[in-house]
Amino acid sequence: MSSLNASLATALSGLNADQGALEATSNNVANINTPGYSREEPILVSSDPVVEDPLTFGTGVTLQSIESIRDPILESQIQQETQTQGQLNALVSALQQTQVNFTSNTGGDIGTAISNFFDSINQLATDPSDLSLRQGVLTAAGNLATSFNTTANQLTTQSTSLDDNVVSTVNQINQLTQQIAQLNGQISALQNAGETAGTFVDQRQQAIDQLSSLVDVSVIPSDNTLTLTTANGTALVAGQQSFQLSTQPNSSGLQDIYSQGSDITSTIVSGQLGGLLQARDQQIPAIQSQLDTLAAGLANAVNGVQTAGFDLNGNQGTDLFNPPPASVTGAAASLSVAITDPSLIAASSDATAGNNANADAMYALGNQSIISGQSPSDYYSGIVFDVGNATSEATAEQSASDQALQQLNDQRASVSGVSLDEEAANMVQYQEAYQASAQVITTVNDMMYAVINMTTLTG
Amino acid sequence: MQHNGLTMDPLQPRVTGTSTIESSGARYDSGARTGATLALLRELESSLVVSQQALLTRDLEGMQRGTEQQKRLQHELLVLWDTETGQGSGVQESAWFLPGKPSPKELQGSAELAVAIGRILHLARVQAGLLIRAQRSLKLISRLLTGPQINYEPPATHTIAAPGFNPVFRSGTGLNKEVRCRA
Repeated sequence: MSSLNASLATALSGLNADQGALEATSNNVANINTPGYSREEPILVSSDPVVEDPLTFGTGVTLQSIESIRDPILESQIQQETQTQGQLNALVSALQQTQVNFTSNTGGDIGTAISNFFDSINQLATDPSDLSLRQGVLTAAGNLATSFNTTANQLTTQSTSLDDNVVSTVNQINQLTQQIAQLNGQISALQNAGETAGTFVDQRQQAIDQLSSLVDVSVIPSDNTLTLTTANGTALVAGQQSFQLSTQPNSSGLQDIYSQGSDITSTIVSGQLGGLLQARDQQIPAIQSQLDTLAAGLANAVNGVQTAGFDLNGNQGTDLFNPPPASVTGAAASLSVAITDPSLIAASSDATAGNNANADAMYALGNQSIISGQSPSDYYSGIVFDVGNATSEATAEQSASDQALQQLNDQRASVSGVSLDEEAANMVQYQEAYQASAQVITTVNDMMYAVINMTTLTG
Repeated sequence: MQHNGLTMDPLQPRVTGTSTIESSGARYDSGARTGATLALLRELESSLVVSQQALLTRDLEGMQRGTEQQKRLQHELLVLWDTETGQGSGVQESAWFLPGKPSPKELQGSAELAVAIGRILHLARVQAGLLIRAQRSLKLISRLLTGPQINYEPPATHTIAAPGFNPVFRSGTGLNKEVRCRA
């Protein structure tokens, strides 16, 4: 039956609902600059009516829930792109550093050192008995060896530095997975109790975004919780339990990544960790291998001509460079000049002091296809070009990734972000509704007062 | 920096340093040729930038327009180079955008031309990266829409995700919303 009390209750429900809605608006405004915050929307529904034939009376309003606005497809795309961006950032940074290694050697770059070496032999051919020209060849050979050593050592240093980054990245991943597992527990507990968990969900989403930038992550949602694995299926988080990754040195001294006893290094291809591993295990070893091939090929070819000729004393020539390892590995780092006496350079082909035929033959090596079908200079130029090309490709890819991610984040902001204009309009709307409900209560109160007075008078 | 004629940065292609094309079949002086090529490359560069924006905003008409414009420009460039080099059968189309393998004839010209080609190469790579992402995005949506919970009712025009895609995020009115119950 309709009564003043019922009207009072209806007006009160309005006050409560508007107060709750205003709370959501106020929370939105407060979090306008909070990274990862998703806009909240109050869901108001009318309460079940009371039917008293022939009339139906409404019983007010209920704030059913407060919803956080999210688009899971967008979140998934952002997550995927964040992984790619993390990988490219690490890769581009490593490749740029590699480029620097080829340009900032104190002894000049290898290409220049190769040219100088063959130029010095050409000079020697003009007067094979001139000791100063012979010394010039030894100096140029020494500079060439130093250039190879410096570049190879810089690459090794860079590899070690990347290895350190791998370890620190694994530590960051472990911290984040632990945090996500903890948040899973909090969210699950709150949601099971019918409580609001939106803030924790936002925090978890942020942690997942951070994790995505470090490693390739697949998110498998289940009731009130999430399971995270790497793209290859290695478990990272299952509900409230996190699975820690660990590192162990391999036979090369570099750290491999393990999960529950299994080596998962080769399965990580994305995120910062993927980029670091790609640079450490693929790009740098490939360059090192090419440098070793060049150093060994050059040293062996020069030694071959040198030992076929005769030195200034008429003796059979000996190696100019210390022989590189048979396996070639490490040839660039260990390249060194074997002789210190300039008279030991075998410029002559017939043991006479004035003969320069062997020097000419040695000089000719500079233009011969002695390294994998290419001249030494061309082979080196190829290495440099490959490094530059790989850097440019990765940089372009990084640029595409940045643009795509920016676009996706803009889309997310338009879906989940807080609009001050919209919130201001909502605020006015809820305020007016609250005032109207309050006015209803005042009116009901007046009416009750009138009724009470009437009762007193009649009593 | 340069190493024996090779540049460190492949965005700056190898330039032989001469501004005179020594082809017997050349009909134009090198300045005019370079100018015409540069003009086309500038137009191509602008077109690629516009195309990238269209691609990012999924502007299908813009993408279509851009692709047609780029095809036209590529054709004009090929014709121009064919005329210049006097090769008769023309330059291989793929040679234009083949990274790391520029032909000597293509690389003749001013340093400005080399820089312009480098920019085009970079933009083309970015464009390729964006196209791959667009394709990946379409595949993702396609997978979601053809998931195990597909029904054969006409799809609601405002619904993005298939219902029940993510049990944590319960589908609301188009956007999936996480329901937060109040105590």
